[in-house]
Amino acid sequence: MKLSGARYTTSCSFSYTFSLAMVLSAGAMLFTTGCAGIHERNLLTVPVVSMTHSKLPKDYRLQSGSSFLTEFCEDDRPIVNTGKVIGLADQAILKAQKKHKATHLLDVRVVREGECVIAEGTTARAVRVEKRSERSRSAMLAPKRLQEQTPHATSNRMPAAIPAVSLGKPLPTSAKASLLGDVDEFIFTGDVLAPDADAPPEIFGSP
Amino acid sequence: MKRMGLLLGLACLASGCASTKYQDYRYFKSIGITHDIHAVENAGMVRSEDCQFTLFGYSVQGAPSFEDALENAVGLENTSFSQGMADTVNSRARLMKTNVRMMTNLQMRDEGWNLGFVGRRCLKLSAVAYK
Repeated sequence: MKLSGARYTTSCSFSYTFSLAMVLSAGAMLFTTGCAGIHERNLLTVPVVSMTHSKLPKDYRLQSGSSFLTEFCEDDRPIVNTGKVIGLADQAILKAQKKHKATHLLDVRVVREGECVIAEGTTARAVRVEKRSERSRSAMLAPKRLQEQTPHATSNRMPAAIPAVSLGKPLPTSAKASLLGDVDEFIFTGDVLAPDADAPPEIFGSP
Repeated sequence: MKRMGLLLGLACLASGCASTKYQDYRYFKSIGITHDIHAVENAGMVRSEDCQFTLFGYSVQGAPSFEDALENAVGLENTSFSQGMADTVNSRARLMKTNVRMMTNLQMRDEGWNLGFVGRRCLKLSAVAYK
């Protein structure tokens, strides 16, 4: 009786140990997979994103700036109050735009790590551009050659700002053609595109 | 004592009502599918969703994906769950075939149900597409 009791105890402790090991290993597996899931999850990867500007007019181009890395966590104060529901990726992007005064963000990747969201990419501003004429382009590249063609041009202003047609003497036909021809080059004017009327004023101030 | 209980109850109710809900995404003003976001043609309003089943709280195919919801929005077949960079690039390549350059006023909403052992999570998306 005693022996059988001992046997029973042994068997019981063995089965108990076995089941505990099973539970522990299962728990460890779940913990590991759970942690792997929480560790980093890709939320968003887009070429361009903006929280303040919806459209880009034809005479505006995106001028890229510096790279950025921002983090927004669940305990952080929202950049823009959106009520009860807060989008973590939205707030991270808003934070980056506000910090860098950027109208857009380029090549953005947003990942979730636990209770935080991390956004990285390049800042950009939508700036109005003006077409640079072929003549001013050649003037920029080779100022001496331009002076030979138009001997009265003595201005020392920036070549892009020279009103080439009003320089006095009529230009050769080839030069005229190059003046009027469209060239895919633009000069950034410095005029930054205003945000949409319904954009949050916390980012750039009231429009 | 009753008054204290009432106050505590009210405080609990108030804190419950004021609790903040966090989502991965909620609203984007604009998103460019390509770097050229000079949109020409309004392709209209698009709505879509990406849903995943959960078993005992664990997602079978990962969380609902924004990229998949985008793909669905422009009428593409949902072929894979894109969680990695490579998948994302493929998704974008498929999106570009539809000529959609950008989307504006993107609104995302988390929806779903959970019965404990099985559940379903959905990411619902609505936006205006431009070509």
